[in-house]
Amino acid sequence: MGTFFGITLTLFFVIDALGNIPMYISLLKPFSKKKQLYIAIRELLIALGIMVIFHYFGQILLSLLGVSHTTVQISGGIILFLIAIRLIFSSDDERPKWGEQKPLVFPIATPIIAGPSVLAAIMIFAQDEPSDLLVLGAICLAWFFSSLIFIFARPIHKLLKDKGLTACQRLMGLIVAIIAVQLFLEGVEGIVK
Amino acid sequence: MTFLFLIVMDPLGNVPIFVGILKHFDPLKQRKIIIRELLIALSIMIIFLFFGQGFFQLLNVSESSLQMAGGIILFIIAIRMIFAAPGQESSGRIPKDPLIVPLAVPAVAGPAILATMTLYGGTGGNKLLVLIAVVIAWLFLLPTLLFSPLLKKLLGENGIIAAERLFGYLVVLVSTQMALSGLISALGK
Repeated sequence: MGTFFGITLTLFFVIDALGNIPMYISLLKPFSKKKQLYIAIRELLIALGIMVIFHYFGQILLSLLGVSHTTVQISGGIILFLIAIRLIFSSDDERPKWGEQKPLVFPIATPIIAGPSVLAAIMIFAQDEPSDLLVLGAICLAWFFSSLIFIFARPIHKLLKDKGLTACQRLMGLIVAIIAVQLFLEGVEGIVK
Repeated sequence: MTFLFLIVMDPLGNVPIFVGILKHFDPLKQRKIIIRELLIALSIMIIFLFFGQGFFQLLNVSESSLQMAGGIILFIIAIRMIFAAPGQESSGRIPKDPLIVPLAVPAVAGPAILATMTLYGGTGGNKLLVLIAVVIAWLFLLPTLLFSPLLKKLLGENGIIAAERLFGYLVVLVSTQMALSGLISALGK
């Protein structure tokens, strides 16, 4: 499946930085501007660490389960499709309430940034692509763009408002759905041959 | 053979299922339920070893349809794991005691392990050897699952929801594999 940019774009959409802006802002509201930036950068770095660790951990996990390459493609397509459905149809009351707590690692680094969907997607790409560096590079690039969005969360939120952000999220979900079907079809082709 | 059975029983994949279903019970009750369910699963597996083949011949069920059915059921379980809305389950509902279904069957003694055992213990296979392998694999499974409630403490309420969803994606993978190999062997015939 796809090139470096294909994976980067997919991961970026799945991280869903835009859709998470409202939650992120409300979590950081109690802190001063300077502290907010400090927390954001710290959490982003932790999230990157989690994603990179999972890149390797996921490979071990999948080889333990003993799944074949075509299965990874087909179920990868199904998994990405399910993620896309969550992106398209997610409603606000479905999102968990995190309550008042000091945001260290939890809940911003994981699961808001490096959530289950992202980790599952990373796992699939790690297994599907033979080149380690390519996936790692894609993770870093997708992380970088998501970081920019999180750091400039406030201006973006002012510009797009809650409704605009939801619209963006749905649009990205549609694209992920298309990528998912593509991956699925590649797997089916592999089996039929 | 023991190793094969252990993989097919899938202790790693069973941990989230056990944690998810048992999360409403206190730790002591959880341990009791886990041990009870595992004992039931073991006896079902042993019964199946001796009567499985005859039973499926009676129903006219082939091994590939067994695999496909198992894969589809697991897939539905996975979807439920992924889309479980937080707060939806935890409030109001009285937790039901999961007797036999879904922990003993199909989580532990699922279609995959039963099919594998039927295969090995079938015509010409040494039933005693399979029996020993199953018991040893089961002995490895026990501590893994007893440890599973500890995961809950480690991760917290929201962490469990996140972990459950992640494992749901993993179960999608396993179930697709199962259904696909069933389909392939059905087409190959």
